[in-house]
Amino acid sequence: MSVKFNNVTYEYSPNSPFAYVALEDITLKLPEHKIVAIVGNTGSGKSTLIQHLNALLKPTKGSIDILERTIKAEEKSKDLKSLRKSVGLVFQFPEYQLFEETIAKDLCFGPKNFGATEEEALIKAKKALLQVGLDHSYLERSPFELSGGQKRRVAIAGILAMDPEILVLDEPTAGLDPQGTKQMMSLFNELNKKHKKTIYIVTHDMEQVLQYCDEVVVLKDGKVVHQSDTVTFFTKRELLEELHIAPPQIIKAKILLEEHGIKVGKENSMKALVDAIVKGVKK
Amino acid sequence: MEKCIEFQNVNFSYDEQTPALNNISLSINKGEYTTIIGHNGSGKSTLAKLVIGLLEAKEGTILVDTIQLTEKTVYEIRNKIGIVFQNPDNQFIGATVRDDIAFGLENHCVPQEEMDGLIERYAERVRMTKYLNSEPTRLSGGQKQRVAIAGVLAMHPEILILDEATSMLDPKGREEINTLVREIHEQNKMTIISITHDIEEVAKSDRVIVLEQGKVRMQGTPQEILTKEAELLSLNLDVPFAYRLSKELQKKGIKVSDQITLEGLVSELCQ
Repeated sequence: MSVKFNNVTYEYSPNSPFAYVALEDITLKLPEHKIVAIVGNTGSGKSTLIQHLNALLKPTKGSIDILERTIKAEEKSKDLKSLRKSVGLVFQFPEYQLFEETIAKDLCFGPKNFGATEEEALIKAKKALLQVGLDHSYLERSPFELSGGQKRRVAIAGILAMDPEILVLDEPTAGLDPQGTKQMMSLFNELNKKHKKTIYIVTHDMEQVLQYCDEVVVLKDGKVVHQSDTVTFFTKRELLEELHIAPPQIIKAKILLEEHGIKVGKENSMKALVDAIVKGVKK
Repeated sequence: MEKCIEFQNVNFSYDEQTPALNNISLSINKGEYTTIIGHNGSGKSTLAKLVIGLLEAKEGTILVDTIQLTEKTVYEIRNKIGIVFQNPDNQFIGATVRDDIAFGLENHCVPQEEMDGLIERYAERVRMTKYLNSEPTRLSGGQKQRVAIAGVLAMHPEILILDEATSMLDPKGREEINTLVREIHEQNKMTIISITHDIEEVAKSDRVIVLEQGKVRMQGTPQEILTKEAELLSLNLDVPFAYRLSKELQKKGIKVSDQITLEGLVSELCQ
C-alpha cells in the first residue's frame, strides 16, 4: 500500500509567539516500490513532511495512512515501534548520530532495540553493511576513524539493519564530493531495484532527480504544488521558473539552445543534445 | 599580486599518523575569489581552521596580510576574517535570528543605531527578513546557512572564508548567495576563499586550488583546471557538464573550444 496524507496540517509550537504552520492541508499519495523525490525551496516543509512518515511528528489536523495503519491528529498512536521499524528515516548528516565504539555495535543497536537477539542482530548488521558496499572487515573498526562518506554509509546501514520497507532520506548527499554523491545515489538505486525498497528522498540536486527518481513531489510554503513523473516535471518550464528550481545541466542546455533557435527533442540525454546541435549548427 | 594568505611548509595531523596537511605551501592573492576543491578528507576544512587559529600547525608558518599567525596575533588576524562553516548549528548563539546576526557586531562594538540598519540590510540580502524574530533552531538547514552568512557579511570582514557554506541550500538559493558574495567581493574588493564541491561556482571564480592528501595537487584559473579531465577524475572530482558536451561536439567535427560553462558554450556555438 502506498502512503496517503489526508488533509494534513502541521503547526510548530501552536498558541505561542513562535507558532508556525509548516504544512497546510496537504493531501498526497506517495507510490510504493519507487524512488520519489521531494523537492522545494528551503523552508517549504519538506523535512516536516517526512518526519510524519514514521510519526516523529503527528499531524495537528488530518490523518496519514501508512503501511496499513492510520495516524490521526488528536489520537494517541499505539505501537509506534513497529511503524518506526518499517519506515527508516535518515536525517541530514546522519553520521553525527554514530555513537558506539565499533561499527558492529552501532549497527546492532537498532535491531536489538526492536527485539532481535545478539546473533540475529549481528546477521542483520552484516547484511546491511554489505548492502551499503562495505565488507565485513569494517565490523570491528571504530566508526569514528572512517571518512565522511564512509561514516554516512555506516549510518545508513544502521537504518537498513532494521530492514525497513520504506527508506526516507533527508538530503543524503549534502557535503559529499561528486564521486561520493554518485556512489550514494547508486546505492539507493540498487536498494530500490534489487531489494525492492520504497525510497523517498528529499533533495535539492536536480541532476539526481533527473537521473534516479521516478516521481517528483514539489512543496511550496507548506503545500503540494506539483506531482508528476520526472520527465513531465522537467518539461514544466514555467513551474520550474516560478519555484526557483535551477534545472539540471541537460535541461539548462536545452533551454539555452532553444533561445538561440536550436530545437532539442523530448529526450534528456547527452546524445540528444549533441545530435540537435550538430543539426542546428549545420543549418 | 599582493598576497593575502600564505602557508609556508605547514604540517598538521589530527592523530600523529596520517597528516591532514602535509608540508603544504600556498598563497592566496588579495582581492581574488579563490575556490578550493578536493574530495572529502583532502584537507580543505583543516586549512580553513588553521587560518583562523582554531587549530594550531605542528610546523610551518602562516601569514595573513603579512602578519605571522601566533598566539599573540591570532585575535588581530581573526578581526580581519569572517568564516562560515558547513554546519551552521555549530555557530548559532542568539535566541532569535536578529540576536544572532547582532552577536558579531556587538563584539565589534558597533553602535546600536548602526547595528539595526546592518541587521535589516543583510537579513534582506539573504532573504530572511521574515524570520528576524524566529528562533534559529526552528529554521531549516538552508535557512540557517543564510543567517550564518548574513551574520558574517554584516561585519564587513576583509577576508571571507566559506567552508561549504551553501551545501544545504537549493540550487537557486545557492545561486542567489553566490551572486551576493560575488557582488560584495567586487564592490569591497573582499578576498574570498570558498571551499566547495559546486563546479558552477568554481567555474566563475578567479583561481582554483586543488587539494589531495593534504597537498596542493594543482592550481590555476578555472579554465586551466576544469579542463584537466583525467586528473580531476583520478581525484574523485568531476569536469563541468559544459566541458563534456564540448568534447562530444568536437568528436562530431563541430569547431568549438573547451568550454567550462554552458553560457560560454552556447554563445560560441551561436555566434
